[in-house]
Amino acid sequence: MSPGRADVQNPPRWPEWIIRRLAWAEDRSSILENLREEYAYLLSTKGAGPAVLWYWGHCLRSIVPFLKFLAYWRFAMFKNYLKLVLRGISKHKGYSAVNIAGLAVGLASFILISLWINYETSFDRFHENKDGLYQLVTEQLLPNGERRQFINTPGALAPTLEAERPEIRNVSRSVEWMDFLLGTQDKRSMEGVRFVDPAFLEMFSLEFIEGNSGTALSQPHSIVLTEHIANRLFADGEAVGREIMMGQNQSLLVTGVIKDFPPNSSLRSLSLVPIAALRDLGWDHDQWTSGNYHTYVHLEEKTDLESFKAQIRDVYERNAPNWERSTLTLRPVTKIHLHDLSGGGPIVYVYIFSGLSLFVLLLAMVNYTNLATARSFLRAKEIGVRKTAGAYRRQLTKQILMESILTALVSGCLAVPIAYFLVPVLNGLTGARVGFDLDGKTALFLTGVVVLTGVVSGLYPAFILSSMNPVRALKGAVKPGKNSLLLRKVLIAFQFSLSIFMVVAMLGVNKQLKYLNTKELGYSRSHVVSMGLDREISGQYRTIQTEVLRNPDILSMTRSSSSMERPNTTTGGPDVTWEGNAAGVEMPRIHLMRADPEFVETFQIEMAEGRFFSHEFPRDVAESAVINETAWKAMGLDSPVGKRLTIWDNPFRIIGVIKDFHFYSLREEIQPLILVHRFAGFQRIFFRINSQNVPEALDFIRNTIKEIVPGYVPSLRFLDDNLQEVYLSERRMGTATRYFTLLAIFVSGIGLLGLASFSARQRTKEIAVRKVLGASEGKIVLQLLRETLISVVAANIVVYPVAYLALRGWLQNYAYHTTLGIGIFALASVSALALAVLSVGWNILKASLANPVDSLRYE
Amino acid sequence: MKEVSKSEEMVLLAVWRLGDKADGVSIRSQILKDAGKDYTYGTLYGLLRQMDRKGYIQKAKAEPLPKKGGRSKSYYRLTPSGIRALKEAIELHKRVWKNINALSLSES
Repeated sequence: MSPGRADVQNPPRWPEWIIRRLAWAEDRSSILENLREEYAYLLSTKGAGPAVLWYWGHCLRSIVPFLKFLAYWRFAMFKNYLKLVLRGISKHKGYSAVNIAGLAVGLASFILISLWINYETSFDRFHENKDGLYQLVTEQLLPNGERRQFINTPGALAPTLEAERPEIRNVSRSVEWMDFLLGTQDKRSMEGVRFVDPAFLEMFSLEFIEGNSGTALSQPHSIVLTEHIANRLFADGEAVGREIMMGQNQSLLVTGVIKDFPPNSSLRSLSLVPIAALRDLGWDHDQWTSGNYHTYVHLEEKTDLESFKAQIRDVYERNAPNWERSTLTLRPVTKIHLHDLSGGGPIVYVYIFSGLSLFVLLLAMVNYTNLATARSFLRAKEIGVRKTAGAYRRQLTKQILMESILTALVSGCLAVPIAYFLVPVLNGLTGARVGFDLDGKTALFLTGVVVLTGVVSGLYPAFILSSMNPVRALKGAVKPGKNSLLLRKVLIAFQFSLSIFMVVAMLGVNKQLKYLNTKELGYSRSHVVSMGLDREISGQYRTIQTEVLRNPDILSMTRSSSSMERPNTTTGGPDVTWEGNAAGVEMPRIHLMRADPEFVETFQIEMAEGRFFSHEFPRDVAESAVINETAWKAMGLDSPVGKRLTIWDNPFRIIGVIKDFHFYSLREEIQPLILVHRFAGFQRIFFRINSQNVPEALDFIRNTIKEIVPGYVPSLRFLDDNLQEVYLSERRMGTATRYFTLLAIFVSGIGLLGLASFSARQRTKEIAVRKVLGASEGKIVLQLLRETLISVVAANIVVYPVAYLALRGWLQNYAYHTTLGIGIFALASVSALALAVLSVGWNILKASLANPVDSLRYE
Repeated sequence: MKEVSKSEEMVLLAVWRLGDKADGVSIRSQILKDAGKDYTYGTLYGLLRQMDRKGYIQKAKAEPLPKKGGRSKSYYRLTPSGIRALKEAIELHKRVWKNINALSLSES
């Protein structure tokens, strides 16, 4: 017989393997033997083909009966385990409570964060075309070699690209104008409007309540209202076909009503007006010169993105000489929300928050592992009896894992309502609008996490318990091994490290927050209110000024081209030249701002040299420029006052140097600034008001403006409130770290408490003997505390460098930041020590105060 | 005592017929021959185990096969209570079908 024939004698491998896996141990070999026998018989009578076929068929048919059988027995065993576990839980109530509470808190924070991440990553994914939608991004090369990306593009870009590139299915520009006076003759309110190309309606998924996307924007004087505005203006019936007024004199026909965008949209929910309507407002939207448009494209399916990018890269170079050093690129619409162009964005918080919630969960798991391992020696007898009665090690492991999984499941069940009630807190904290909707996928995922939590936290105790020697266990001779004691110490130290880390992070973040809010900005923000200088009132500014300043509580009033948080016109490079620039210095990025003479008075900014604009010099409006100290330095001039300065070929003369002030957030360094009366329109009005009569002053301003411009409702805001908004993400970070730190301390605190009460009980005899031999209570407490304190100290040493580096990394996002003094580390250590002493010390003290006679009399 | 199910009855009957030669292969082929049912070994051994627990049949190991690594085959035999169960099944059958002529059930 050839060796090849011998193989044919054996049944096919795969079905045999399946049966081997499925059959129960007791009959496995008989079944296989029987199958072999019949196979051999078929082989000899009918040949190889039918025999193999029969074997396969038989195997496939027997899968169901095998599984039924397995399920039946698994369930029987499961019921047994379940009973044991439930007994265990109810017998050791305190112990179980600690475990369940810890895990429930950990899981609740995990659930919340999962919900939040779900929400954050769902942004803009409701658009049907989401995979083909991109936002065009301009990339500018700055004179200092840096690249800056922004989403502003010139209006002529959209039609040019559409004509050039066949890959583009649709393209639309978008301009948001906030604070338009919008409405019917009798009902008007301040609303934002988005100017778009008609293709916008096809690209983005907008739900039409009235009208349809095909025709809604085909006429230039039409408007598609959002649902809430339509409901407010036309509560009595259909909106389509009605006329509404935009601004003072533009009349538009309502051609559609759309549902408001869902909260997880990065595009603000605004009413839509065809971009052609901009012409009536004096804007030519087909120019290369101004870059006030956002451009979105919808690419054909299967477009090669890389080659498309390469094709559009040099579009500025080819078409727009004034956009030199700029190239064009794009980014998916679905990335707009999470990824800022500067590299950061909410994605950072997604990482940080998920890290923190995992920390808390990890702490709860460590609690379980610690307590279960510590307790395992109390259970030695149980394990011994089970082993002697014939339990396999695998069964014991299963039982103990089942315990931890069940504990996790109970905690999970508690965690869901906890999370449910905390959703509003989460929303307040993150500014998200998360709903508590557990869909099937999320629920499955969370169940998976819960089970995994159970498995991981029960793994080590299961290993320890199931490996006990039954004889020694029954004799009561099992002592905690060196390894498990060491592990417990390491785990406690780990818990402390995490807690200390969180405390340090919390203190650091909040210290920076305080710094951001209190740093001298070079100008005074307090008691300054601002409002938008809209088209509606710009013609009336002087009248308003005269009237408002009649009230002595309004100390000063001015207007400028930008909010105090961010100037919006920038230039640099060869656009700016100046007299006396012998070295041929090229100006880096420079900010342009326009402001009235009262600017320095309203904001109480001092001059370093020369003078500010003044009404006494009417020519200031045409030819004077004021620079800030940073610009002065950058220009390399000795005495700048009187020097000539040219911006975009317009001549100016420098009349003064203003002291540096922070016109950006403290994340960025103060940059060169030039104030001139050109290039930008006035955008904001500022009032400095008397701190004694704030409400009266505000009312006076409102009423005066309402009288001068009927129907206009100014929205006044304190600059200090704006500051809160500018540092919103920092404030959130501060609050988040505070919450998570509390959670971490709570979880590790109860864990330690449980562990300490356990070890104090275990050491009652030791304490009693020490007392009998004459040790004082204090000495005993110190002795027993020492162990924990060593863990705390070790944790401190490990965690300092890590926390320091992490915080420093975070602070480096800020051009101006606080210092990480020793203070916050010291405070963190002290609180960790306090935590240790409180949780451990109490139990030890109780044990040491007990009468030794009670503990020893059973000996 | 709870009566045996139809499939249990068939297995018991096959084991009884085979006497002391009732191993897995022959029980299976016996059922195939008697009732035309092609049981898989999964089903068959499930039933056998069930009845072993109920005490109707007994498992016995024969001598290992006289070849290298040969495993010992398991044979099954009815216990007295198994025989009783089988008898009861027949009785039940007779009782239930009493006075019914098979022809009168014919369709139409």
